Parts: sequence; structure tokens; C-alpha cells
Amino acid sequence: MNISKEEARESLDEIQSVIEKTRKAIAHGAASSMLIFWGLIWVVGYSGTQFFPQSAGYLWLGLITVGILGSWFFGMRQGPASRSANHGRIGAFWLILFAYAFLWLMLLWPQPLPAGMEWGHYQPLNDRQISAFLTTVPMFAYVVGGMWLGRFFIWLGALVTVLTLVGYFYLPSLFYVWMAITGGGSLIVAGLYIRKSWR
Amino acid sequence: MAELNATIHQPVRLRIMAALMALNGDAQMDFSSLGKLLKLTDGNLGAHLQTLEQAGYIKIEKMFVNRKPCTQISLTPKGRYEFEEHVAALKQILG
Repeated sequence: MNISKEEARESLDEIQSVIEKTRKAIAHGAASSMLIFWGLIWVVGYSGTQFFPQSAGYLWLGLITVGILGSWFFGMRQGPASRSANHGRIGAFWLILFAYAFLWLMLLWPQPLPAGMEWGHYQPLNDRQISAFLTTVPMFAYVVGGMWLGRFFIWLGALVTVLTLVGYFYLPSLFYVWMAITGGGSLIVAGLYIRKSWR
Repeated sequence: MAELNATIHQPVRLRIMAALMALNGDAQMDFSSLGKLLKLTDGNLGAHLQTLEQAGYIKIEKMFVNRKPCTQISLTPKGRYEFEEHVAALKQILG
């Protein structure tokens, strides 16, 4: 069987196009719902942390529980194609990522040392540091995942990371409300964009 | 030296194989999702799947998901190998 260079190029382009389309369709399966859902969780969680800081721990505990259950629900609602393609790997990925994030947090948590040692005066990490860390962990995953899923996720992860750093360094007193609006808002807008453009 | 595969090179079958190649490992895609993705009618898709199955490139499994019949399609190791050979041959033509 012989074909021209032009036909070979067209075939390779077609293959690449179908592979990308398939991967996007799989990613789209639950991505838009998840982004909107987690965006709303961020809006509620960060707003609550800003205005009711004493109850923030319980609030986030409740919201994260709802988030995990909701993510499982959206995962189950995916089409058979997506479900079978991932075999629960996406869920496992997020669980492993956050398990490591909490491990790193524990390892990096400054421990008071016996009196007299110079760095024994370090205080534990403050809430803002922990929030910024735990916010940028999933954004790191978006940036890395974007290398396979498309540039959209790279830009989204990078944008929310930059917004987090801006709030952390320049708006410390308004950090949580800043994160509610810009971080939560970015996720919601991204979810709506995917829903509109990838269908 | 890799050779072109006439069965795979047919435009619709090329797209079917490319879509299945995008899945992880031995993952499956259901018939209706594949048809929707590639914008193919059930009849057209079914005919090409049959050709690919006869060649041993894909595996078709019929099962029930939530009590509804569902046809799942996946690449066989032979299909994956042949597709990769075909792609290599196309690249060779381009130099």
C-alpha cells in the first residue's frame, strides 16, 4: 500500500486530533461540575474563615467532607467511557496528593526545641500559611495535569497560584475574602467555561 | 521497517483506533460514547467495529450497566501494536 506524503501528514494530523478530542471528552466528563462544586466550597469556606475565624476549623472539616462525598458522586455520574478509562485513578490521585500535602505539612511544622536552642522560638505555621499551601497544592496538580489534558488547566492552575500569592503577600488582612472571590470565582468561571466550550 | 495497514488506514477505522488508543491501557469505551465522540451513526460505527474485531484489533464485550445493555469496546494488544506500526509507517513516509 502506497500513499503520498500529503496523505500521510493528513492521517497523522487526524490521529492527533482524535486522541486530543478523546482525552478532552474524558476530562470533561466531570471536570466542569467538579470545578464549579469546589469553587462554591472555596467561596463558602474562605468567606466563613474571614468573617467567623473561630469556627473555621469546623467549617472546613464539614466542607471537605461534603467535597469528598460530592466528588465521589460526580465521579460516579461520569459516562462509562470516562469511568472505565480512569478506573478510579483520578480519585486515587487526589487522595494521594493530599495525603502527601498533609505529610509535608506535618514534617515542616516547626517543633519547639529544648530551651536555649536558637530555633526553638519558632512558632507553628499560621493559618494563612497553611491555607495558601493547601490552596496551591491542587493548583500544582492542575498545572502538571494540564501537560496531558490541555493548556487550559495549566493557565487555570498558574492563575489561581498567582492570585493566592498576591493575596498572601499584599492583602494579609483580607486574604480569605480575596481567596473566596478570586480563587473560588476562578474555579467557578473555569467550570462554566468548560461546560460551554467543550460540549 | 514499519508497514502501512490497509485495514486501519480506512479513515473511519483510523479515527476509531485513535480514539481507543487515547484510553489508558486496557480501558474500554462504550458504543454510544464512541459514536457520539466521532459523530458516527450506529450502523456505520457497527460495521467498522465488526471489521476491526474480525482483524483481532479490538475486543467487543456486551454487558449490563445499571440494568441497561451496554457494549464496551477496547483495543487488543495486537490492535495497539498494529496501530503503532501504522503510525510509525506514516512517520517514515514523511521522513
